[in-house]
Amino acid sequence: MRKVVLLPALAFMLLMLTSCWNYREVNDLAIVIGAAIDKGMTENYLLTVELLEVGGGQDTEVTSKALSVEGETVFDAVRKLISIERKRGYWGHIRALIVSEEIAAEDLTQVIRFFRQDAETSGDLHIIISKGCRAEDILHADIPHGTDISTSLAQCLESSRFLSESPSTPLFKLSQELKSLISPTLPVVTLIKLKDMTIPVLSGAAVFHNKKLAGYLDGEETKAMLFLKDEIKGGVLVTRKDPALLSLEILENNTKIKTRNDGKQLALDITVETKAAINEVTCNIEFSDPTVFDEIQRLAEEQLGKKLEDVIDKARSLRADIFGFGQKIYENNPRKWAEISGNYDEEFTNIRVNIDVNVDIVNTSIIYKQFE
Amino acid sequence: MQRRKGERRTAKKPVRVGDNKTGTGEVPKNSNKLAKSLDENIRVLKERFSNDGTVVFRRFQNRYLPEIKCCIVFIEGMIDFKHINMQIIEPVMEQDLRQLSSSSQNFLVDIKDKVLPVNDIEESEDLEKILQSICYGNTAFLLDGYDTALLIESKGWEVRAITEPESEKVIRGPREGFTEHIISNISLIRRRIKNPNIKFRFMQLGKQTNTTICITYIEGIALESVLTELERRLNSIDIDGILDSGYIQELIEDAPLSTFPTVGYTERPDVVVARMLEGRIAVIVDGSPFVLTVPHILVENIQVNEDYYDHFIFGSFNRFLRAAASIATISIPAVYLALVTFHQEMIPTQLLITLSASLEGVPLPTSLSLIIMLIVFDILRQAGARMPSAVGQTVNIVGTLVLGQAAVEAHLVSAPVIIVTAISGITTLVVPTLIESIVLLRLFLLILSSFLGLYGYFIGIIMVYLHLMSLRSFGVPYMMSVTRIRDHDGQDAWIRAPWWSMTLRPKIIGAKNLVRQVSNHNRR
Repeated sequence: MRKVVLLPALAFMLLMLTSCWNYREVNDLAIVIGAAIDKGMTENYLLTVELLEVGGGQDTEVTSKALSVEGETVFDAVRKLISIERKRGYWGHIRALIVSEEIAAEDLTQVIRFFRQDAETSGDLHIIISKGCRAEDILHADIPHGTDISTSLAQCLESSRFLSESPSTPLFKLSQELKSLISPTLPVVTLIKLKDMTIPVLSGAAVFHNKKLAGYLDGEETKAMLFLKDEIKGGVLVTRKDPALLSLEILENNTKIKTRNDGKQLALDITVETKAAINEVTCNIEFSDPTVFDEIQRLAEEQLGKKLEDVIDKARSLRADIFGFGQKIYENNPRKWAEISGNYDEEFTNIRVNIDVNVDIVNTSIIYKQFE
Repeated sequence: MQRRKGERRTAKKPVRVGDNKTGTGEVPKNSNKLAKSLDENIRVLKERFSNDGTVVFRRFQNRYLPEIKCCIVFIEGMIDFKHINMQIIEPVMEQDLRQLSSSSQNFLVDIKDKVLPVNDIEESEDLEKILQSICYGNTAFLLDGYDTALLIESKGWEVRAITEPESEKVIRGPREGFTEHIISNISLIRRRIKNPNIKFRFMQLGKQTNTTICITYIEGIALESVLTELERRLNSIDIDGILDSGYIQELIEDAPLSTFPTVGYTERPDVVVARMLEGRIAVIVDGSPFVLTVPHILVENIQVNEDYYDHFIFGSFNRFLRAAASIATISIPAVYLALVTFHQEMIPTQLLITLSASLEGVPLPTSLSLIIMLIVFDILRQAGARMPSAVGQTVNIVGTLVLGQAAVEAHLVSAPVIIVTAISGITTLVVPTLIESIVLLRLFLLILSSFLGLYGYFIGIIMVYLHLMSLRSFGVPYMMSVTRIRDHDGQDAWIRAPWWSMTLRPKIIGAKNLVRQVSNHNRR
């Protein structure tokens, strides 16, 4: 009973925990919805902001515009914005921050520190790396849907759990990963031509090592990485069973990593337990036959296992422990960690990894025989 | 020594005009007693009622015994003519009183006992008492040769019919309401409690108006301490006139400076009886359809008689709505202002964009336009309450079209401000007894919130809460039942528990006789 009363009371008190307070009217604010940071021509950084322009009157009309300004530091540029835009920028609702490859390769933290320290910006801001183009070009691209690019990119990332081809790493998670032993991965945006439009699309992940951009993963590799990080929430496993292709929708996944210390050699046992449903089959397969059904499960396990091994190899080649293996060793076997931590980059490439994939198909399409 | 003391006392005491129990100073010592002579008595009464054309002196004699001279004195408009004609004049005038007269020891007493067929009759020699009795609508019967008058009950005047009270309408429940007539009000209560334990104690208040007031309670349930305190407070009232129970309410309140009422009032007999059954004491004031009840605590404002007549779940839901609305009505403008002008990060992005669009081009700051609109709303409410119904249409048009739509279209006020005002205005009316407090509190919180944002709002809420916690009504904590939800106290506060589970009366107020029903034996 006490809890029942206490809970709403505490939730109510949370209202008090608001940030800075001073009187400002909403219509005096230039709402910054997204920002992009590049290397500057004359000064250190080129900051491009995407502002929402709200047209008043009977019908609300929201458009966006992108403005660029150079500055010695990020905050310097933020304040210099006022010389272009009459209103003061309001950063409380920023959804996406796009950082150029160039800066990411140098040191990512040099630009994101501001967004963590400033009072207005919030922790659920998505950090995205632009690949193959300048970050400002993303904000100047054509808007595929909605009113602005930043919101649509943020929404894509938020709904990407049904696709699992981009890691969703908001600012608060990124700063946690930077503090821990995991090498962070950030979503990647590129520009593609679509008829007469240039639109930004999300694809794969950027891998960071020691705060620097180390390389890229493509969509499939990203999905495999999310499997190993136990962050998979959905997505499709395409399984080949000659001549057919099967689409398995991932319903549930549970990945466990255990360290095994037999003698001197350190080994990791990874168990992947996946529940999936057959959603699509390209030609007729008789599921009702248990041998065929088991065959499909076995093939799915094999093919997924192969992908997982491939992505571990890729990470090893980049020397970036994006799966948090080091963290696991530190948690389970701190003594061993103390031994290897000095030379972990090298050790990471040598850790023995046993992958045990278990795909459980819990559901099949009932009307699969529709064309026979 | 004694005499000097007395002299000093009278000399110190200022002579107050109109406060004369013994008439003007020059009237002889025996003037507060009647004389034996009828003519002398009539002269004295006429002198006291000089310049009052409504006082009627009707002299008449017995037709068989013309020596019996008598006179009745009454005030026109306060009496029932038919009653006086049939029950007083006719028997005395028409009956053969010769035999009665010859065998009589005290003829006046014989007339009282054997001639006058009236139910309420009293003898008095005291002139002041006779004068007052006449003023109340009784008839004084004077007989030549006797220094005693008979005071005969003959009250009768136009009273308003018993109708459903405008201020407390119900869909389900009794439709009787109190009127201005104290006796009929008492009968409305008495009819609901057929029990000799119900007590009615009368007293007169108001030195000029001599208003009758009546303290009503159920002996064995009401707390003696509250009763004593109530009587003490009522006795210390020294006002010259009482025109409505509101006078008494303000004079006996525990915290007269607080806008929260610590004395309850209602126009409905069923509500008074329900409160009396919980251990409260009612004060009925002649001339006012509003009956006061004490002690009064905060939850009574959200308890409506219909809660108890409807299904208990529905009653609880309605009560919850009322509680939520009364919190919402003081909070909505202040919280809206705080969010829009201080804490934009708390507004979802889409909503922020919509708000930003509607605020575009509005010259007044949000805080000022909210304060103005709320005051305009209260002006409309005042206008609506007092206006003749014929101009109602005009107020409606001005209120809705001019102030609402046109102001938004002309970009003088933003649309959300109008919506906030409207919601806040409608929710005010859900708790009618707290309107005074709500209207002022809302502005208070709004002003605090325009300086300090949500901090200001919460500072205000804490201040109000502390104030409420410090209030007491006749020794009962004002916030009783609001802060407790565990024991039986909470059964009738935020919710209305089913009747079969409410076996006890409220704490403190009903402490003298806590058990309402022995067990839930009626429950299947």
